[in-house]
Amino acid sequence: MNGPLSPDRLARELRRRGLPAEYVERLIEEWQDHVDDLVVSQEGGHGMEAEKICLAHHRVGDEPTLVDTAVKEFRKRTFAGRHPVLTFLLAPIPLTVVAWILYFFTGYLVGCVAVFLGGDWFRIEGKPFAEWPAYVLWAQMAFVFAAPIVPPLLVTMLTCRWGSMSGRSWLWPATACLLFAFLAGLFHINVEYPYAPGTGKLMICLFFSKRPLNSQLLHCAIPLIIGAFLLFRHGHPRRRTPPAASLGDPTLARAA
Amino acid sequence: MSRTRTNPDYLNGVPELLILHLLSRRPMYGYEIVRAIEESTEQALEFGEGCIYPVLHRLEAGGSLASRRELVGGRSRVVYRVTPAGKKKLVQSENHWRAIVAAVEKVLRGEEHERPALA
Repeated sequence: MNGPLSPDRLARELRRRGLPAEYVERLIEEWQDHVDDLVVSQEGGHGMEAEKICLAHHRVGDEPTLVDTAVKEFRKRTFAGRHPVLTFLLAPIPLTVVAWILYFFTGYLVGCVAVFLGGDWFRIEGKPFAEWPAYVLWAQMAFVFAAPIVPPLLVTMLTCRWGSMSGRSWLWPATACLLFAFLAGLFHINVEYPYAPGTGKLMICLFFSKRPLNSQLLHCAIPLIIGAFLLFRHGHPRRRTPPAASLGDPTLARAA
Repeated sequence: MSRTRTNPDYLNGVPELLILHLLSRRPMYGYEIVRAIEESTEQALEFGEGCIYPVLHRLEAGGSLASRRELVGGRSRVVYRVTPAGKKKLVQSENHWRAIVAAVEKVLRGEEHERPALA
């Protein structure tokens, strides 16, 4: 017959296997309720209290089976849980490219809307940059500056969120963060502002330099830092309730 | 008394079907569901009792069930009930199950299928 189930041990093992802390708490609570129901159902029967609790634990199941089932069922919930290779190894590169496309498309849309609503306040077509309004120039420079940072940052946060909901090990989203960092480091954008109508240039590319610029190293570091922070926070949540000594009768557990 | 626990592959999906069916009759908490499965199947099907909770949680996350902590018999328990989406899923699962059982039965009974005539 199995020994008493230990909520601390169960919780530790479930967390180690990648389940979120909140879910683990809920699971332990309901298992505890079930053990209580089993013990109560044996009231009036023969046997000591300790035997009844042992039998209840036996019927709930052994720790390896409970943990395996909980992990298997949790992973079935999400696409990332069912397909970690696709989500964390294959998807990051196309996802980042799509994020950049959406970023520039959004910038273009915002510009069109601004011109439509504001008219000459925002119109820069056909003008050399010396004639651009200062706020437009600053907005453009900020947009270009953020281009290597914002899209990789957003996909990093999204993927870490998927990782926390997938029930998979933290290594999966960490690997995805490495891929995001690599792409962010390769990203290069160069703007030549027009000195005359039709002379402006915008160059966007991914290239590998033997001597990367400091800025490229910074772009590479940001997804890594953010990813590390989010994964650390997922792995070390704030504890809400103190752990119980054992499922069932706590006095018996302390005596053991 | 030791219990024999088996989980052959062809029983995948069976716990969900049974849970949805039982909860469509009335809301229950986990212990009640386990007892209801045991009684309804006359102990022909046995599930690791603690293993039912991850299945319940998955069904809830998928929108088939809803849960709420309630007082039952003077004690606080998490009671599960099936949602409209769960009822839809139950109907689909039952139809699917009946089709599979009928097809397998045909094979086991050894009914011969007619060979098409050759030109």
